[in-house]
Amino acid sequence: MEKASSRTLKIVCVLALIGIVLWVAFYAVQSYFVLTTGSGHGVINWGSPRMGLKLTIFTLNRVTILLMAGLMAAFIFNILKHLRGGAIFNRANVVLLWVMTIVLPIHSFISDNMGIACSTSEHFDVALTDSPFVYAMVALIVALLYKLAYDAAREQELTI
Amino acid sequence: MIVINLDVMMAKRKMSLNELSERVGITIANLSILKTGKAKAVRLTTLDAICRALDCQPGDILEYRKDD
Repeated sequence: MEKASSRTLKIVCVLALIGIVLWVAFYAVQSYFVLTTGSGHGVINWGSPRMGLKLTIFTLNRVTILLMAGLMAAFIFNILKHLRGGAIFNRANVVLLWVMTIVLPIHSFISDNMGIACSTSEHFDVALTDSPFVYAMVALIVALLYKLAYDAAREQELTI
Repeated sequence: MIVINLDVMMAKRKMSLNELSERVGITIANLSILKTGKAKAVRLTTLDAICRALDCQPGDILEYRKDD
């Protein structure tokens, strides 16, 4: 790989890592306020009906955020690890992208329903928007493109 | 299927993998991939260099065999 391309890729990877750290930090701070602020809109209303379900949705939301952050960070570290050898398309990242294709729509669905976690009522309306499907399609396209690039790189590697 | 008879030609010319690697200018690892039939494709320039080093024709190295 050319030195300039390698440097650009390294910069992009570092910026992406900073983005992931900021993303997780934002939700960590937000979690604190959502859990500790008194009753109101957008926060956990302690003592309201069906607290178990509300806290489960909130926890699942934070778990999927951490899971996505971990998957994305692993993807970037894999690229950085193989950057010197030039093999930026590798099998581990192909697998990571397939896992993200499943986790991302689930995370989106749970996020869409965070209103339930912050409601004061006992009645819940489960929201199903187009977001999980859009995220799934985008993730699928990215995973397929990466797989194609990986296969092409592998073929190139086995051309003597 | 295409069978690579590189080892046969090397034996005929009494040439080691190391020597061929030096003469052709490709790594031993890549020559091994070629020799074991794991290669997906062979560049004409590589074939040219191998034929020159082993003093043979491409047909001496590459052979087509019908799949059973």
